[in-house]
Amino acid sequence: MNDDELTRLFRSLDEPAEPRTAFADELFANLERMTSGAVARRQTSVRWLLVATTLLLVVSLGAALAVGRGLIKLPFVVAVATATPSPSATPLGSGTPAPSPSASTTPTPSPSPATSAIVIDGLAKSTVDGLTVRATPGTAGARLGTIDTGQLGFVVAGPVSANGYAWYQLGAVVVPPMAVCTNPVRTTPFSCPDWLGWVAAGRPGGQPWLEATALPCPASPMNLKTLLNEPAPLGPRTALERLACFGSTSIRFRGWWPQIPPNAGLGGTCGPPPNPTVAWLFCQNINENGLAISESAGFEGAGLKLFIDPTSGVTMPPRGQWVEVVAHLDDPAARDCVPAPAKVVLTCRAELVADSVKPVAGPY
Amino acid sequence: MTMRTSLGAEPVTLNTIMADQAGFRVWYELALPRVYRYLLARCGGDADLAEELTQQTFVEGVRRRASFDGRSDAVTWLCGIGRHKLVDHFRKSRRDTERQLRIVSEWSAGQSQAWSQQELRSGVETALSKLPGEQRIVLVLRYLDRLSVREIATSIGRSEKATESLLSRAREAFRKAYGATNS
Repeated sequence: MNDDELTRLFRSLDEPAEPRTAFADELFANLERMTSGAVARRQTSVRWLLVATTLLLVVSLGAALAVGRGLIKLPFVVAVATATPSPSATPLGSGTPAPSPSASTTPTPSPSPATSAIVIDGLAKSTVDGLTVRATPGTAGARLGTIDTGQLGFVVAGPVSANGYAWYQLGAVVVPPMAVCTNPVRTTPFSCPDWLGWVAAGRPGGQPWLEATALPCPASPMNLKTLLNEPAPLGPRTALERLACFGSTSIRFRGWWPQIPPNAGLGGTCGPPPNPTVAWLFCQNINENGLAISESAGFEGAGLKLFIDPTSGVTMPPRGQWVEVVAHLDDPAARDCVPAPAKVVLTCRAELVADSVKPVAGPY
Repeated sequence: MTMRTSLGAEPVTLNTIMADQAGFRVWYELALPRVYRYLLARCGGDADLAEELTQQTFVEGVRRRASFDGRSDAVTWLCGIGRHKLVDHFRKSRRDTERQLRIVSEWSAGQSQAWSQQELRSGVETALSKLPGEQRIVLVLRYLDRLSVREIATSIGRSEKATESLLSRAREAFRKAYGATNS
């Protein structure tokens, strides 16, 4: 097969093809939105130019008449204000909602057929690269960034039907939502794992862009090491992965209740909580109730923080021993972590709240 | 001002086209099928992908319209943007193989209808679908776009030597895949 034969074969690919009308219309609407602001500015510029030209003519005519009648003798300097028209059309404003690979086509009323398996408080993952995450459901929602194939998200809300798509609000599971993340977070794709936004689940009748997924979950009773999935090749199970695993069901596990080393640098403030009644759940960073996976791991090693509702009557035993903890995630108080951003609520929901803590001889 | 919207007589700049909304619509309706067709032919007949790349191309074109100097056909200029989008897609798409496997199965079903006029195209698409993304794109650029090795190297960000080597491997892989498909 020589080059001529290859050329002949490849030319067979180039056959007439028409894009779908709905796609064409939707894309044109997007482009028109992108250009409409510029057109308006251009029209304004033209109007200013006409005004300036008229003014210039009037002034020139007046000056000529004055010179003609001897009211002004030459030479003189006529100070004519050079009216500068406003800048002409400029490229897009950054606020223009850019179309996404995903949700920018074919408004049809039915939701994606592949969305039925996606459940609230479960996990979903992107099946495509460049899937757009938006601030609100719908193609007009501000574009926050994109996620690529395999990117996991915790399903916070949905489905919401908009522009013919079923939209789900997803939060990154890679790290807890309140984890420190370097700005800017609005990148494409997200360079920062701290994201929360709405994603279209797919084109109706087409390939799903999101699919439900699940991770292996351990069963109670267990050791804290198992609960954390530590050590793990890709890191321990994250807070939202735990939330997806257990929801609000009771978890029984054993962990090491370590001594706090000298100069641990603890304390401080976390700012005023959104709601004083949930300060105990909100101020995660100054919580000293860190359980460790083993004696050797100690206070600074792998572990998990335990939260105690001051009205529950739960108390911690003396440090330096193994404890058995019965706890739960998704405490009802988490819903009071408002009016902070939604991801703070999500963080509160993912915290482990103690129901009982008692000393035990050792791990399972 | 009379807008010239024929693709054979392009207005001077895209800014000029877009300043008039009615003219922009007419121009768009003529340009869109050409850009879409260009991309559809180069992405294995994947209509979803072609739409996505077409969309990206037009959005990028509108954003960068000030850089279009009007000395060439605007659609050719847009197709150049589309080519970059296509190259980017195939270079970074980790799920490419799965996507193409899906296309293969769709074509297999379609072939039962004996679309004789499309058999050749189907065979090429099926064979291409079995190749890694970079091999596929260099073959398309070489034998459909008729680009030189130097131009392809520039497009994919590799040296000429590396591109020639990639092309050589791609040709061999395509021959095998096409032979298997049509045997």
